[in-house]
Amino acid sequence: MSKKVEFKIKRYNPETAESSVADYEVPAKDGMTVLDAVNHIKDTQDSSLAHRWSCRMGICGSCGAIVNGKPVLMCQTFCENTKAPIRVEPMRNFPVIKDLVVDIDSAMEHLREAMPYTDIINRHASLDKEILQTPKQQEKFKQTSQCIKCMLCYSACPVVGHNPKYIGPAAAALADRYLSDNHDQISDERMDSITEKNGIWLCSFIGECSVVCPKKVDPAVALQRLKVMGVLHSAKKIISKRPKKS
Amino acid sequence: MPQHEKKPAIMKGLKWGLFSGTATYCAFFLPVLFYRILVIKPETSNATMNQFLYFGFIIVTYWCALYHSLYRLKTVVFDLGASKKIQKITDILCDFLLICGSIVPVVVIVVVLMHGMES
Amino acid sequence: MKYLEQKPGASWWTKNPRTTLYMIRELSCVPIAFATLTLATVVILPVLAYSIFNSPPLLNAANNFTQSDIFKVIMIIGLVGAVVHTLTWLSVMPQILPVKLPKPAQYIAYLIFLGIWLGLSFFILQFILV
Repeated sequence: MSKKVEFKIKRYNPETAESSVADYEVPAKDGMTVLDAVNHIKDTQDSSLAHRWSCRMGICGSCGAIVNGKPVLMCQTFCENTKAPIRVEPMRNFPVIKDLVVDIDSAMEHLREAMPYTDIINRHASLDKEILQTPKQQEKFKQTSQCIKCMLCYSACPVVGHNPKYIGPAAAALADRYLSDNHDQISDERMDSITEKNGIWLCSFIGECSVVCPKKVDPAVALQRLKVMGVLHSAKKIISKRPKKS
Repeated sequence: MPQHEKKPAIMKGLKWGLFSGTATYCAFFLPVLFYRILVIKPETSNATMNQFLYFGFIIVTYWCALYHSLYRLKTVVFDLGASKKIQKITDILCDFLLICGSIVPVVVIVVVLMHGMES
Repeated sequence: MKYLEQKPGASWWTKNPRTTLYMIRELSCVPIAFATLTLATVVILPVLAYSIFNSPPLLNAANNFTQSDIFKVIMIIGLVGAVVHTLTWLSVMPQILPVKLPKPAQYIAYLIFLGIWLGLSFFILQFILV
């Protein structure tokens, strides 16, 4: 008799606005991930189960969920390493659309606030001459460039839960990535954007965002770095009284 | 390319910077102040060779402790998911306590300068 | 179609040891604020009142209060809060240094910071707060 793994999956029906927990059993296989199991459930037992997934290899960031209380990528979470019964819930702090599918539009909007572009085409004095970037310069933003926008950090951050307008860890890490890039031409505008009242100042350095990040981006430390830069930026603004750029 | 016309919260930034500085200062210097108050009886203490440093240390440490603890109290109330009304009341109360508490070192400095070090 | 709103609630910090430690770190502000405000109201203000208004009763009351057990308990509470703040604040400092340190080096940096704290405290007790 093959071994079975027990799953408890939180369901939500948007038509009736009812939440419930559904029990499933999945035949155990070597190297089976939680995503494999959820796909098996959807394919063979309950086709109404809604969940997001794509690459199955921890690159796309689509399959974020809460597994046994921890925000993880389901494709990177192996059933043999997870205590049964395995509880699967939708990511926290986001409105649930259905079952394990959440609405991450607000977080995506916050990414725009980080102004994730160098604007080199519009701003650089001369595009005829290339701007060289040494490996050492690239190393400065390598860590924060690894972000796959899985939004697990937003799921782990209680500040996001209490204040959805907070810019959040991923957006801050993205801002740090561009501010550390020697190609960047709009650092002042970006600093203005991320230091607004719902910006980086709301971070209390709880650190959970860095703990759950599957790509070790370390957004918590990036936020502290940005706060120090933000203080200097604020002081500079008071001292210099820069004219507003159009 | 569209730009986000977000207004930077300059005062919020400076307040956080002050919080960070006072918290770091208190991490190094606050325990010794409480320890000294507890352990050494006031009447046996002599004014040191550098009385300015003595009073200056007490007043600066006191104010840093006050500022950073009240700033943090506001954060704790937010972290506990209190309603906006309670957060606002806490903000007002903490600002009031900070202003009142800040008057104390100012007056102490004035009195010490007026009466000399014998007080 | 109705989306299900999710909010963390007030007890989110009890779910794992890291967040509980974070809340302990933050709540250390309560005893510090309490003890500091007590110092301001029952020690500094009566001294000022004596200096400005020449009022010995208020100064005597303040002196008596500083000898009382209640005052000692408040100062002990303040000391505990201050020490908790020191230990937790210095533990996060190695993570946010300009130089990125690996985990073992962060522990060593923490011990160095603790050593600096104890050294400074000794120096202050010997030469400033005598």
